[in-house]
Amino acid sequence: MRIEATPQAGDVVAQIRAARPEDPLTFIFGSGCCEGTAPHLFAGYTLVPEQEQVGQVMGVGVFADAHVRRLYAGRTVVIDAEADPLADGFSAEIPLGWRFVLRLV
Amino acid sequence: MQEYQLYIDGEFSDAEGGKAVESINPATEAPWARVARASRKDTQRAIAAARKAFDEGPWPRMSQADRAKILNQIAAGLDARSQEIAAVETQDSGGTIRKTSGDLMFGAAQLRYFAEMAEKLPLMEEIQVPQFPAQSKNYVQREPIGVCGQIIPWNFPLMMAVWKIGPALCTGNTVVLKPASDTPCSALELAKIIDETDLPKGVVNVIHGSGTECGEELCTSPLVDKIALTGSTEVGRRVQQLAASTIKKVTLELGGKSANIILDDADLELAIDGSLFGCFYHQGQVCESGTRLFVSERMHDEVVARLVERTKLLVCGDPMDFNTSQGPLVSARQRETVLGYIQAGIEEGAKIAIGGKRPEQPAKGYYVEPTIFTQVKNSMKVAQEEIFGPVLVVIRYRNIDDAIRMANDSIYGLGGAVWSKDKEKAMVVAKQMRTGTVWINDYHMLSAAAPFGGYKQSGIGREFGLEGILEYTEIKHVHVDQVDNRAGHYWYGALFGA
Repeated sequence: MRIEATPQAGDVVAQIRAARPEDPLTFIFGSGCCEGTAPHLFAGYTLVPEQEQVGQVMGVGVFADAHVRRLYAGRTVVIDAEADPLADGFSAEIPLGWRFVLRLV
Repeated sequence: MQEYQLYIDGEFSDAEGGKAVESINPATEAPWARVARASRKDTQRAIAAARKAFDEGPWPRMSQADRAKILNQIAAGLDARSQEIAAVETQDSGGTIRKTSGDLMFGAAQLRYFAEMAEKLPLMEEIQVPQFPAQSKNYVQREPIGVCGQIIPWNFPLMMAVWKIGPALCTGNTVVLKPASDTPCSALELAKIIDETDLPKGVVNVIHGSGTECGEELCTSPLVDKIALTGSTEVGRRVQQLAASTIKKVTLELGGKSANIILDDADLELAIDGSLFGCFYHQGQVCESGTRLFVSERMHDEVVARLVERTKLLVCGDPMDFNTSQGPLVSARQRETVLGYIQAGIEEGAKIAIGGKRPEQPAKGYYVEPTIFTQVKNSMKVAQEEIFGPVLVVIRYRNIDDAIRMANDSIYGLGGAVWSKDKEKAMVVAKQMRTGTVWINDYHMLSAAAPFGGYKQSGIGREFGLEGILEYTEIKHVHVDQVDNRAGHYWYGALFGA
């Protein structure tokens, strides 16, 4: 799988980095349920052994587990950001009124 | 427009800076309520109230009978306002009024179960231990854990609040409950009911806010002793990581992709409707839904034809109408996720037997037609990922061992079912399924008195039943010496010498 990001997503990542410059950031993907395989941006996340780096966005590593890598093998996954004041979950963009979404091309 | 505030320390209050957001009615796509949106500071205020109520208030020290009385007061309040709150929840979540009315009825009944257990629960039990070298009496004492942070999802907003608050109160804990951002209103209605009971201030606090602010604060605050989450597996992993910093007790009820196996000798009239109920109830937005249907090669075509015929009767409509069986999904976000999965299924080569798109009517609302895929392999995305929408995949099996192998080939293990006229044969299959609940010839029938939870990545711990209630207790061993003099304590010689 190849990772790209829209300018909007890059801008949101830049906002988060500016707001919390000390925090190590990591993108990972969900595995279904309420959020599907949406990207989550976590600060201080502990990677599990089966999560491998598949790309980066604005210098932030993007990691996927074997399940997600198999699902999107050979595909280009684009990380985008949408305005969403009601977004939930623990991803770092949510307090800024944004939500990262996954798009396939 | 309805207005809702946060419920902290027995008072309804605005969020920091007056921040509020509009809650959207999924059937009309229009805002219908305005809800205070808690910040990290508001969360800290709620945690402090729960901490004070636990450390200094009467609640953890109250008699079991008094706690039961208050739980019954909450149940009576729910009963008295059930239709009103069902309507609130339907507008907030899109769940049909049939479903939300049932949830209110079950919610009150579940609270009564917790009230009954509050009185019955043996808080102090003598245990037998070997009487060597010490001679002693020994007791196991069960005590409340303390402040419990509870995070619930949007699919059963009122009932999940009861599932979380009920066992915590039953055992004398205090609570900060965070309902989902999309569906906070019925939990805040429950707070209004609680406010009218004799429950001491600060024992239950309800805040509406994001996981990133409120959830993280609950998971990392040293003033919180336990976290209980119902949500996705990824968020569960995040919650565990955050809670590890203060070694909190954690219980997780997470995702599922549950297997539903129809054996060749099943009563098909029952199995077909039961399987559709198992998957399409609440538009498939149920964590233990039977979303993978396993059917033998021999029965496949007949089963699919009958599934399709019965699915034609499931019509999308106004969720406030008692005739409607299929309401909208909870949000535009969720509809797009589900439609994305349907597209993925098509791209992987699965065939749509019925549904597969937004319905033409209703024109407004986040609806998706009940959808059945055939020609599905268990390795496909639509068979491995929890879609959380009205999508059933039908998978053929060659023999029963093949069905069990595929049923267990999932990172999840939450629910599941077996359909057969031979219940003993079904029990043999059920025993081999690596999952927390198996129904035989039924689906979705959870009981407050039976433990519910997941194997594998579907969770940690149990809700309901004695097992679920004990998740909200610390266990203390009390050893009472029976030797009664220094000379008899000869094992002190290990320090002082003989």
